Amino acid sequence: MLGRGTLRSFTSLTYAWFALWFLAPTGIMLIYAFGHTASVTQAGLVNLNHLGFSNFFQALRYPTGPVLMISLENAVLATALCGVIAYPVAYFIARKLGPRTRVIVLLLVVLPFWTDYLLRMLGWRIFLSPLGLLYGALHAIGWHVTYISILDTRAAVMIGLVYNYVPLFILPLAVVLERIDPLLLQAADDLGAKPWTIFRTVTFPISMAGVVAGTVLVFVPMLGDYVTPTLMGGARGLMIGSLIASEFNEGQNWSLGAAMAILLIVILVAIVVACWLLSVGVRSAILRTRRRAIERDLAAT
Amino acid sequence: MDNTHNDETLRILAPKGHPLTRRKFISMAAAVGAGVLTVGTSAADAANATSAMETAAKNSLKTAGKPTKNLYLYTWGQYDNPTTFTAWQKGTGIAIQIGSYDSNEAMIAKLELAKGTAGYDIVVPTGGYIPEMAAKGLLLPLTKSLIPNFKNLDPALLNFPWDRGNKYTIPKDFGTTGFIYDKTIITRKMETWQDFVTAAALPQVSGRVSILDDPNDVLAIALWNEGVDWNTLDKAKLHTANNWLIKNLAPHVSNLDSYPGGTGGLSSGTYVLSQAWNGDARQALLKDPTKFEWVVPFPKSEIWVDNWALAKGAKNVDTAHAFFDYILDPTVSANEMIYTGYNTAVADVRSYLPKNLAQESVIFLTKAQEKRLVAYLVNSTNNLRTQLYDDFKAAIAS
Amino acid sequence: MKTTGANKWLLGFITTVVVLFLFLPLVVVVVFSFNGGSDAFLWGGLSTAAYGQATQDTTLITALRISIEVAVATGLISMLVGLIAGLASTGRGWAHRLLFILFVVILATPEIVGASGSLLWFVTLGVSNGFARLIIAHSIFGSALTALIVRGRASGLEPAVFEAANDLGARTLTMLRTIAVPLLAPALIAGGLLSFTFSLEDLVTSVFVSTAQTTPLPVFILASFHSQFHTDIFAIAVLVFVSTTVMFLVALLAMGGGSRQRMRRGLRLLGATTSEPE
Repeated sequence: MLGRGTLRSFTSLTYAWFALWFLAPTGIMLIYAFGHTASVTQAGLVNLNHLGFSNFFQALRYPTGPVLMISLENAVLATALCGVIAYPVAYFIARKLGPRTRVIVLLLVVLPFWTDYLLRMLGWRIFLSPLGLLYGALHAIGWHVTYISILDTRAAVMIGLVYNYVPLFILPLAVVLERIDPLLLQAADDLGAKPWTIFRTVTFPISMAGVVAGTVLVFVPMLGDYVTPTLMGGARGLMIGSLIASEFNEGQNWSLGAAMAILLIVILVAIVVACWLLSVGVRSAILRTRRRAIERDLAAT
Repeated sequence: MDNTHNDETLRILAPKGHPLTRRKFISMAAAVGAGVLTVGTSAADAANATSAMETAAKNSLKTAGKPTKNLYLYTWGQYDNPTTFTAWQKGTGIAIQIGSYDSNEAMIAKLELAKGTAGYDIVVPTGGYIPEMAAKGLLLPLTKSLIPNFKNLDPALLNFPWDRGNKYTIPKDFGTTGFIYDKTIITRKMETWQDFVTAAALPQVSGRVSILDDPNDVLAIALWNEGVDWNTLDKAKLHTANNWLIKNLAPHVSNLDSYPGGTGGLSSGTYVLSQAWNGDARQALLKDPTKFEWVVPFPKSEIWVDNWALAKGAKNVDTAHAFFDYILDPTVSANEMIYTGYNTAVADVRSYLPKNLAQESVIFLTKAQEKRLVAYLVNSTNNLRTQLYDDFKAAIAS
Repeated sequence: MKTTGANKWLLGFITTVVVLFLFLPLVVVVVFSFNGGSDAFLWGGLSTAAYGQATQDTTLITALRISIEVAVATGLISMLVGLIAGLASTGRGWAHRLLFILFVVILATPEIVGASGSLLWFVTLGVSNGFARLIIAHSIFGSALTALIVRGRASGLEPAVFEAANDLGARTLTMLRTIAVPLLAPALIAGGLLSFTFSLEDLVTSVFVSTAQTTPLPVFILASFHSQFHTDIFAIAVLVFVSTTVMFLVALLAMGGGSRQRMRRGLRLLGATTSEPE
């Protein structure tokens, strides 16, 4: 797409920038994973005298496994919910609104996130607290519950996660949906396709790039999030991010925390790459079957 | 408020001969944050009270070396009376900026990484962590000659094993760990840590229980219950303790919250049983005096001491010393105590408090209670304790 | 022409419900900022006292100012870096594909690891200015975010447009200005907006990387979570919200007609479509 020279210079610039401000610092942290935590009476964070994999083995022991499973379940479910909620909203914004209203509605989606994050979670807690606003509202309409017990449960964690990440799915999806050439849709309509078929064969496949972007933007950071699940789910909001954070914060065990972080990053990258390969494989399989069908039709004539 | 009381009964002399009557003291207390006392005050009375603190600030500044324009405090969340700071600022003209943390380990993490560039002058570590911070070079030694009010400190609170000779630190306040419960819902006897765990299993209590967000305080519940010293290095004992907690307490805990009183968990009904520090429990009691009951449990519990210290990389060293001198002034110390609900280390500070301070019994420990309190020193089992804590948290979540 | 049967009203209804859902805790915060009771969480009548307290608290206002300045800078840098990085990742070679993985890794890195690494690195390099630390640390995440969105959008562009520009001998800067930016504008704006938002409310990175002299608001508010909570915190949150909204509306109106017409004209010339509603 870009000229080769331009592409090369852009790529070098990008690598240089991220190498300086991300790869270097994070790399140092991750090297700690191979060292040993300094004792509480030693200066420095990590003892790098004998490097080894002991932290990784320790990271894999209980409770990492079960907590990781729960975290993955939560993240997959929450991401799917975000996607399901985001698609109609993104479609509406991108294709059903004029340019000016589009900007306004997009702003509306982002606006609530300009209040402080902690306070928004607090707002949820006040709303969902056992004798809080939801309790009051339900009583006002005649539904007399003893007390609301949504808070500090897995359901509350889901509410918090979906709430915080939905805009991250809506925006990239809307951006891609907006780009779809109406002429393509016009052509399909002229050829006699029904509206749902047009969506299924034209709009949705083209929007996949947006769905992928949205999924990555939501699922990846969500898995490492520990503040949201803790604030909403209390002790039941334990996700893998909390374990890692507690090694850094409470345990002062930087090596172990770094090792767990590496494992998390590797798992996430593996999942993303696997999905990408899968989608490429699926796409080429579909194309192959369609081409064979067309060839068969042509041979029959 | 009984105004017929003879003002002579409580002769209080503010520093430098500024006589302060009992009425003015109560006004000063009333000028303090909302929900602490409900005493009406006139603007004139409040002004008189704060002016005493301002004078203390001015005098502290005089004895310091070369003061600067700013002071940066790294401390626990809202751990000082705001009027302490405003009086300091009015009296000295030096602005105070505050950063906060919620655990010693997080504070140590930041200071270690920043290597003195974090920008803070004063830091407030809990006793048990001081040897570690000193070993890691995170603290600067104090210059006692710049702190004349050091003599106001109660000798019983000096010279702890974690800082012999008070080379680095001055005690700020001290408190204890216990539990507080809703006595309209829990009606059984509640005196020991075993009672805490048993009550947590009751049907109307389970799922509305909070414990402190600290590995050691949680493990301690089991250790104290068995009569084991919680400073133990015995790994087997730690494992046993944790397993007992996982079996008996984990299924009923809903939150790990170090401030169940202050952040409203108890008042809102989210918790009916909470492990808490005494000053924080007092917040819940001030809001609902008849609903809750505070207990310093048998057989043992914690005494912790928080301390003022100088952070490595401090740019405003002399100003910091002046601040320490100011904070050790008895009137200022009493002002702090009214807000935080924790006993400060200044000797005889009790005589500087108003007569009818609400929920006083929570602040002051009886001799009997003091006998069963033990302090904690961070030791080599630190990593194991965090592991066990993670296991415990995982057990709650599953 | 009905190209899809999706009912405008049904979609509009869903969108409204979602927007209300997003605003719910904000409404709670706004309502409770007018709480006159002594307990911040139990309603005690209407009062504007909290706003008075909040506006007089100079440290609070300073923290707010710092947060906004850092967030604006982060948004701008993220847009710039995101544009370059996003475009760079559209190439076909391994070096370009690897960039996509890099962006994912940046998003995947637990914030606490990235934050402590950044602090360590800043200290090693001698970057002591609090603003620089915050902006750089925040913009790494923001740039990765923007780059991914740009990449998503760029994949739908016709390469012919760029090739034409290349053949016509356009210099890189001209190409960017007249083609890439206008076509990618929605992605850039979305990325910039999300980066601004992320920076404004970021907690974990800011806690580690900020210095005492440059404490952003969320770090400041964390303090009240650790002990007693007063209503003026709610008030300051509402003030943050109002001031950032006003700022954006002003910026939007200022950007206004002129440049958008120029953009539309440029797009039509290139044969790219305009995006009108169905």
